[in-house]
Amino acid sequence: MVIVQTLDGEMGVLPGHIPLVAPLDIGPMRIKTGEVERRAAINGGFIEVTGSRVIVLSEAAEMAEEIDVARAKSARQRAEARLEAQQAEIDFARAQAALKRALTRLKVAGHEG
Amino acid sequence: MANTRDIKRRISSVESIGQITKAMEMVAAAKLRRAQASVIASRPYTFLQTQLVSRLQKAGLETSNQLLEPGNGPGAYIVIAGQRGLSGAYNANILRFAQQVVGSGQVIAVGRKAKDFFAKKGQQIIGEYRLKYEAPTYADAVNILKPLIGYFRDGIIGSLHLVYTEFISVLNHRPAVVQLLPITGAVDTADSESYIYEPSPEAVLERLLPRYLTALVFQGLLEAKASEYSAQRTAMKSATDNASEMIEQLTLSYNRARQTAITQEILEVVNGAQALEG
Repeated sequence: MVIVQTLDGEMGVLPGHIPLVAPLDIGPMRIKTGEVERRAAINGGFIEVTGSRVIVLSEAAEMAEEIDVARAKSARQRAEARLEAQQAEIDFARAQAALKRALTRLKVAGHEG
Repeated sequence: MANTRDIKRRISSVESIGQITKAMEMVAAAKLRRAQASVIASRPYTFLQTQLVSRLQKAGLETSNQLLEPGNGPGAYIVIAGQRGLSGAYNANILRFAQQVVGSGQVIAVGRKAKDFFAKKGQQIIGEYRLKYEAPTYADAVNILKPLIGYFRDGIIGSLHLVYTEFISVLNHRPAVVQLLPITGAVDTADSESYIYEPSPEAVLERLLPRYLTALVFQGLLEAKASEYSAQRTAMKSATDNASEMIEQLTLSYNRARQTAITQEILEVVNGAQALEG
């Protein structure tokens, strides 16, 4: 089973799912094969489901074990500082996205909060 | 015959040129390895992205998107060339090809060589982008495309093509052109599924199409960069080879000149001695 974060919310895909295309939000992805679960941080993109396979297209994605926790933490601090400074609109949206990315990476890597 | 000191000076200058080209060859080789790895790593993404768009088109969209419709207006071409020379025929090849493809169209020049070339030809340049010398980033592709998608939507340009050098192997690269706008199904896919679009076909296309274009441009940038480094390495290698060949010849003439000078001296000594005896 593959569980992803679409723009409309969390979605789980089991084998034999009907063909589907949906945009993805910044968020974690979980891949369950039997008892094994692998996690990845997805920086937006698309999921394409056909009968037999799932393709996740993302400009940036990291498997849990590849995530640099120290970097994610400093990215979170930078984003939070920028959000507190509250400058122009566009900076705000960008900082929010950056914060979301950092939080997702920390969550996937198992360093929540 | 040139005197020995002149020849010696030339040998040492050719030697130092050879050392520089050798160093540049090594640098280009190292960069090539990295660029080649990123081209290859990025290909599956671009390919699947292309396949997805093609499949969606083949499945028959109930909706349309402006980016799929032929536009009115002049054609525009993104031309990717190098930021600097010293890479053999790389820039000349791509620019010669680009000139034929572009015709009287408008140019978005990526890399200084592209800009200089089309500016000299008096071609209309509607955009200019400088690449940092190191590896291109996804952000470069986003920045190049952003205004152009706007131009297309506003009807300022009617179509958009990408002209770049395709990296086939270390020794083989060739100029290529792909159509970006309006988007056409690029690859033929055997299987066609009818998809469900979440939340709606319009929303999916609106997000998917710009990403697809960005993926194509990014791939083009990576291919061009790897081709440039490989051309540069080849050029520097042949320069280094030429330098060592030249050194060999110069050493030969140096030895000959030295021999002649010694013979000359001996002759003078012998003649002098004979004159004293006589």
